[in-house]
Amino acid sequence: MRLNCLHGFFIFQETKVGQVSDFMSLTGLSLVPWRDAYTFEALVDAPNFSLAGKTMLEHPATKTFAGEPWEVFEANEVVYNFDTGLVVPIASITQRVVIQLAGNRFISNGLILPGSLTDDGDRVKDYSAWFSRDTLRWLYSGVSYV
Amino acid sequence: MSKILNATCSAAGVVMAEGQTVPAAVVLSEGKKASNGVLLLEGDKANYLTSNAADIKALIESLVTIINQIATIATGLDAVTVSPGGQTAAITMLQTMKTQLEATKEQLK
Repeated sequence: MRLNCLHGFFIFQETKVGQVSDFMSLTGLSLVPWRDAYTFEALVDAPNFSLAGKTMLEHPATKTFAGEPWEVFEANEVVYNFDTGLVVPIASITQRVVIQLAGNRFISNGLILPGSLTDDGDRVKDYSAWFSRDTLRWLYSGVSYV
Repeated sequence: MSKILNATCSAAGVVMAEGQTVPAAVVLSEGKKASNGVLLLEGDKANYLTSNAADIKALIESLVTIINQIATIATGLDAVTVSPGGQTAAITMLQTMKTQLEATKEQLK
């Protein structure tokens, strides 16, 4: 299964039937259909606009903006925290992450929480990854930072 | 991706959409009177456009009244050989309507 995390907005795409149910069984996290892919249940109604001061997925928006949900997230400097199930300011994430180069990919311990900080002080913004059934690990093909 | 929302604008130029004031909105119309319209969002740009229907309706009504008044004066002039003059009241009304039109121009939404 492929995953794109775009400024804390998650898009999962099955490459084989059954991967979504496998993911939900392994992680306990719930995915629902979204466009032609899947996303976390809490993100299925992510808006394509925000008005400063009005709540957006129960978080007060700081910017008036229209665009794709991940663009709205970026404009408002928020990410989805799948540990808490809440949309939160990216700056509020204090979790540390270690991302290591392993051949032609990156590996990390589990699914990276967007907004996590590396030892170099970089804050993770976007990444693309796929889940390996063989190793039961997320393998990352690209990571970008704020 | 753009978004269109129903919106209002107060005479003071305060735009509201979805129950929220939108200070970032730029009022593209004249905005000299309270109005209903739409808020156009695209990226970080927010523009408010009023519905001009009420302005246009008021303008047309004023123009129809003026034309009627001109017709009244013309009818009186047509009968000048029988009863000259007598159009003072009609001309005064015409001037009043001209003033009203000028006022409409200053209150465009």
